[in-house]
Amino acid sequence: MIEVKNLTKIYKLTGKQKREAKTKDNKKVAVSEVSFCAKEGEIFALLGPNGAGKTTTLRCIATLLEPTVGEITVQGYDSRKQGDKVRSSIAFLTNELKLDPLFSPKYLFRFFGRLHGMSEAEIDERQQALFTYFGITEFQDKKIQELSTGMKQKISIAVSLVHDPEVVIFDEPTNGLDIVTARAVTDYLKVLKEQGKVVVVSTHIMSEAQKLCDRLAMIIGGRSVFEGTLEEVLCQTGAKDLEDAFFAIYRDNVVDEAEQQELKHLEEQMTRHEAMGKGELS
Amino acid sequence: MKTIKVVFCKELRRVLFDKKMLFGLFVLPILLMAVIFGVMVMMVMNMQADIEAHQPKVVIVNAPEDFQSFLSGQKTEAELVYQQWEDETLEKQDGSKTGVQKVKKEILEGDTDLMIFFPEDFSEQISGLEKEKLYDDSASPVLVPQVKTYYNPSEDYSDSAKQSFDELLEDYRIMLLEQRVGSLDKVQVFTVDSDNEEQVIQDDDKAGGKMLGTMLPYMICMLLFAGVMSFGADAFAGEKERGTLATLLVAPVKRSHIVYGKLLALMVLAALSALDYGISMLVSLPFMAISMGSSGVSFHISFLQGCLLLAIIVSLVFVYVAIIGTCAVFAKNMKEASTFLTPAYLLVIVMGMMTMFVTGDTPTRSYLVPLYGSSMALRNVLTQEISTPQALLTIGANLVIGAVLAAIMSKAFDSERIMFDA
Repeated sequence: MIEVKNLTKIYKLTGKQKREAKTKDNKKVAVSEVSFCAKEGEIFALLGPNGAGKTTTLRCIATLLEPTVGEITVQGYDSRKQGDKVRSSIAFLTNELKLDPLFSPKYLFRFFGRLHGMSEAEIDERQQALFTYFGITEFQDKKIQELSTGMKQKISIAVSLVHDPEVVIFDEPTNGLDIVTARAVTDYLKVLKEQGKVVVVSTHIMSEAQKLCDRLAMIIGGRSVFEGTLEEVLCQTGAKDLEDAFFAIYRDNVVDEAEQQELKHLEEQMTRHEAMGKGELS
Repeated sequence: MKTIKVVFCKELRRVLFDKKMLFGLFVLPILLMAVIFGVMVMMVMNMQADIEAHQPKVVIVNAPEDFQSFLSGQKTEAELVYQQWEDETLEKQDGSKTGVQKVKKEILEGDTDLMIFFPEDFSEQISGLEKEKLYDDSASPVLVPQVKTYYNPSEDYSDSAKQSFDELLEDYRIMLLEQRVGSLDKVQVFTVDSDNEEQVIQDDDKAGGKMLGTMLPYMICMLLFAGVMSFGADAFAGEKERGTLATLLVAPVKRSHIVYGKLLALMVLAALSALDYGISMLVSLPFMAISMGSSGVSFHISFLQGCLLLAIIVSLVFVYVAIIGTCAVFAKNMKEASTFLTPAYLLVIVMGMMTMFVTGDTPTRSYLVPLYGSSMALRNVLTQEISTPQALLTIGANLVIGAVLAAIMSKAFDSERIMFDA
């Protein structure tokens, strides 16, 4: 189980960052008092637009960042004091984490297996299962730099799951993938859920979240604005689908004119994105 | 320990299993050495051949007849031009240039290589001295005639002509002296080392060590650092830039173990690279001797010296990779890492070079100075001027410096601002 309590993350800005952000304030609040709980045997979605604070939240859970305020426990381990234990029990996947392009999928899979303290036999078994599921076996000895984006993402997922962790945290796992590979990834998330794992997925693709998640939290402007089941959010907003529900909540939580304009722009973008997705499918 | 080994193996594999990196690390240095020395030897030999093939033009003014006949008896390839001119300092009344002035201009422009100017009354002066003043103690100091030479040291041909004609003039002087006094032995008061075969008392190994000690610390320092600089920058800043370091940080391992694994791998790469440079230098040593005009040195090293040398080099490699690693860890990308590493590299070169110019005994505390102490220790091991405790002091100091830097790197690995720019 993952428990996030009153998580606040404040970045200190350097002179250059202040100039870029055109602000005199040397602090930036990325996440403010976010709380949620993700349990075993469910897929928990973290929803929000780009820059809302989803990735920062997930990085804090994965112990890559330390919370400024608040606390996070993963399978009962404190993220601050028991970082190693937390990292042992999670699979963490995000766009910023890359695999060394000069190595083969097979070597990297085994390398990370050894870092997790697994025996060669255990690694063999996991490699067999994951490489077969994701169809990696045929290009397992090629250098990663020679492979396509989709293949790389499949390998990243397989490598992150080498140690068969209890908690799986995937940040926008289908981003940039074609529809076939994206389906393979989402299908595997369901397999993980059936295996009783805690699965946390962040996304800004509402249609994907609607099909996938059991419960969800919405983060807007660094603040947690909703936590509950899909039915609860639809009931609360009176919307027919998750996308409409998201915009209803989003509208309530953006205040100024600039943000309203941004919202309009975002709606247009999402409509275009959905249309493209349907186009690819047909 | 297991984690360190896993990271160590991965880092080595990254370089040793990649054809391009392998080529850059091992083949390119040998090729570069071969090309550099090949070109140098070719150019030196060409230059020597060209100078030998050149026929120098020598203008001899007011040459006495016996000098002319002396020259005709010598083997000289020079084109000799004899002139009879007055005092070279006299100006022409119409302002036009004198013959001497014209030849000087030719020497400056490289058209003539040498001018030898005898006084007009050279022969009379010589014979006059013989008759009147030579053995007269009461007479005023003897004024001997002066032969002047003019040449251009910036021109290789002129310089070479000057050297060969200096020898000829010396032979001519001895010839005249013998004519005057009979045998030279009569006027010699004493000789120095005319048949002393044991003149040179030195330890040949120490002499060889002194010569090597001047060059080797500089070469070792430079090559060890340069060989591993790019790999070190890539192992930290490069991985950070590619996003592969973050993947490693998600693994449940102590961050200090990642640092140690990487540093150990870099140490091995530095040693391999230095070994490769060393072998290519040994192979090219005969060519180096040709290009520098020396015949090489004889050098023997004792077992203890060898052990000390190796231990100092290993500890120095630790310091180097720790310096490179520290610079690279604090850099956001490869570009920034190279900016940080350039002054460090220059510092290493300067410290290596300083051993060439420091004379006298080295105070013990100097061995504790980072980088400089190691260069001095390397030199003094070769010249046998260091005690074992002093060498151990250097090794100890290096291990402490390396360990402190490694601890700083481990701390940096825990910093989200340094690792993720957050």
